[in-house]
Amino acid sequence: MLFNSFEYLIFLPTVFVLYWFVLNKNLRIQNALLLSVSYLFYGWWDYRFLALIIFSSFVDYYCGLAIDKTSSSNIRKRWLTISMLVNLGFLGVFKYFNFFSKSLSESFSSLGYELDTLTLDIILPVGISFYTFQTMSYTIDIYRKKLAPSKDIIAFFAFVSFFPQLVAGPIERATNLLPQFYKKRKFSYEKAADGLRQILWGLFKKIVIADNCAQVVNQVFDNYMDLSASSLLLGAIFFAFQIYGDFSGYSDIAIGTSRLFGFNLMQNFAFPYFSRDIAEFWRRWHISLSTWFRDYVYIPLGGSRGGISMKIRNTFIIFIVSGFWHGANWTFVIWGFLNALYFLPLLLLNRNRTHTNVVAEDKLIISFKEFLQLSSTFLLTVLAWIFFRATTIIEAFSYIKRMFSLSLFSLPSIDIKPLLYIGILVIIEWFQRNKQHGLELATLKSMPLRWLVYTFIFCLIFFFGAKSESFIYFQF
Amino acid sequence: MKKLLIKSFCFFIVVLLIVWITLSYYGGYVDYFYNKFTTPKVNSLIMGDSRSFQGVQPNEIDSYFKNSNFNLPILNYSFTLNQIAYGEPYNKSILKKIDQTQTNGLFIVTVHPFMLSNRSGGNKEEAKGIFFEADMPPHNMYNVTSSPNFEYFFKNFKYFHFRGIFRKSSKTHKNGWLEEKNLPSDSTLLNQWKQGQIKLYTRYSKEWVRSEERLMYLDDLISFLNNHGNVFLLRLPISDEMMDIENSYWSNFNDEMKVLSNKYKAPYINFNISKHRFNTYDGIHLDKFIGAPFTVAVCDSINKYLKK
Repeated sequence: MLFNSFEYLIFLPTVFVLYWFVLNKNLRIQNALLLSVSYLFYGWWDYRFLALIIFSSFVDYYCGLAIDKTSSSNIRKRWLTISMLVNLGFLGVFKYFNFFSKSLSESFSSLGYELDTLTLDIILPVGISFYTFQTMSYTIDIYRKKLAPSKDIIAFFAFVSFFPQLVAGPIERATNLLPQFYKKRKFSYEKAADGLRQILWGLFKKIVIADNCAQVVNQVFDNYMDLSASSLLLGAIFFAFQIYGDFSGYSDIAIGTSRLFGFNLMQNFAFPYFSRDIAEFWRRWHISLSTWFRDYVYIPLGGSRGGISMKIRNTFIIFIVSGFWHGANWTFVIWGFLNALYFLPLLLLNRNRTHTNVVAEDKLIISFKEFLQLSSTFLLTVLAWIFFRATTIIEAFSYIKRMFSLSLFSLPSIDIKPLLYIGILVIIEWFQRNKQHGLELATLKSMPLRWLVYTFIFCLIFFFGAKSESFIYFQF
Repeated sequence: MKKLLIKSFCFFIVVLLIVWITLSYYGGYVDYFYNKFTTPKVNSLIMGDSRSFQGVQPNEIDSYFKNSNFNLPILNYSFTLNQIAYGEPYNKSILKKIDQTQTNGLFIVTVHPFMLSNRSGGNKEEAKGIFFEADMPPHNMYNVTSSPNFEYFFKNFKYFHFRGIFRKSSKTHKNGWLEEKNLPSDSTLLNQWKQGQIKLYTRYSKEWVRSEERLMYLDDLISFLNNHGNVFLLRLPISDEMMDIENSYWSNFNDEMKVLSNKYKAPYINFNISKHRFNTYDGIHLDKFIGAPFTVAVCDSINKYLKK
């Protein structure tokens, strides 16, 4: 079920009414409701994949209990390994098997040996990368004794499959989300109202920004050989906003929906295009994944403890793994590598934590220096996004090569209307950049003004929304 | 909780109001078909695909026959080939739209080979009661006569293009006629469109087959309409290249139509045989400027038959 569908428009209020008015008395029944509606939400795509998520939940539930039951470090490690193998095994089979099989065959072929490629005719289950990472964090945290295992099977299963963030995150830590299933949730008007505002803002980002940009971006990337450099640059910029609108829009809807049910999810995007360097960008972009990699890959690898060389090695590892997490294609690996490369000067100069506050804090206008920093960071990310969007590495290089030609100074020949929508987004987000989301209006006291803003955003969605495209991150 | 529900309800009302105003005042701009489902039942009807949707103008017919015995005004209930072929679903929808208590209607049933074809190749799905068009408008509509029509809005939301309010490049009038307001005059572009249509219909002619079942449903439709007024079968003018495709696809199409015509005394008017041909802009569609004299020419032909 898509957040931007009519089915969801009926699903959400129905669940809300059942949750708060019918089953509010009993926490376990309320959790059971969340579990069953989450399975309904997920099964709407393909009910067969429910078996996978149920099996994965069972394994992690019992591995968690088994790890906690014993003090023997060998046995604890064994149960953790089982959990990791099952989760990574699912990812390996469903997401990476065909990629490795093809890559292996191509490698042998380049050495002169012909190998029959074994590929499996399988569909990637929606959201598998998200929920496997979420459940892995659960068993790892129990192993590290940071978290007690859940003894409430319904609460645990509901935690794994919680519908707002099941298919595209934020990837929640068990330490944050699971305890919320144990406690009776209290309805808060302020929280719920702000949740609704965040949903509206997420829909705007998805339907107006991402879907409109997608139409132009698809044309540009399909016909990049025939377009001028300026059109290619604009196409790449549109893709930067498409992916931002798409993914952060989804996160906003997920967080907003959770707040309606009394849950708090972590902020996943903190206005990343207002970053002054690439380190700041990665502290603001897909925060739940970046921090996951930091806590479960970077730090266990030694983090920055082993001096600069260790820091550089580990940074490259997490960016390349992160790229690979996004998709089984070398283009994503290059995208990750490129981001690590951008990081390199900051690591060498030990300037990767220079910008930890909001840009132009307490000021309306940024300084020229900050403007240059923002622009250069943005353009670096745009360049990397080309690899993310291209279907092959050759296509990405060819695109970039064509982009740096004299026709860069000509007028673009593509539809530039999305610039108008992007302008609206940037202006609103600029004023809201120290808030949790673009439509956090609790401080705006005038009710008519607030309603005017809601109506304006709704009209933008209604009149300027493009034909619905699937969420990009569903494929990851 | 109460506060949230009340405020959400108020916002829902605001949303509904915006939707209502848009549909009521701009329905013809934001969707090609919406307005067809917002008028009451009618006595006279034009049926067909995009050729008649654009090419047959109801206001011309109404003014031509204003002093006749026909129960007018006439509604253009044509759609496009993507949703339409003569068959059980279209017949059912037409039955819903017609006032079945009267017997003096004017019914223009436009025909061409591809509206009577099976699209599943050798699998004669229509014979098994499977119709490709069943889930699309107008066939998926229970209520075809209410204004505003929220059933259409919710069931067929994906067909809407709300920014049409600002572009105003086309409008479906309340009488069902689609007025294309912004057709290009660039001959290169129009030639590209023509080539596109030729390519498309050449593909159809290879993949689709003549459908006995759909012919039977056309027979049923004419038989039914005959009880409620005068029926005319009409084949609209198309370009020579397109005619060649249709002739090679279904060489005795005109003969088969004449058989039907004779069976029900429903004259068959073919605009592809006269020397004075009406020119299309893309090989199959008449623009609004040619559509007007063409509709008058259709009225002349109908009038001639009435006098006989």
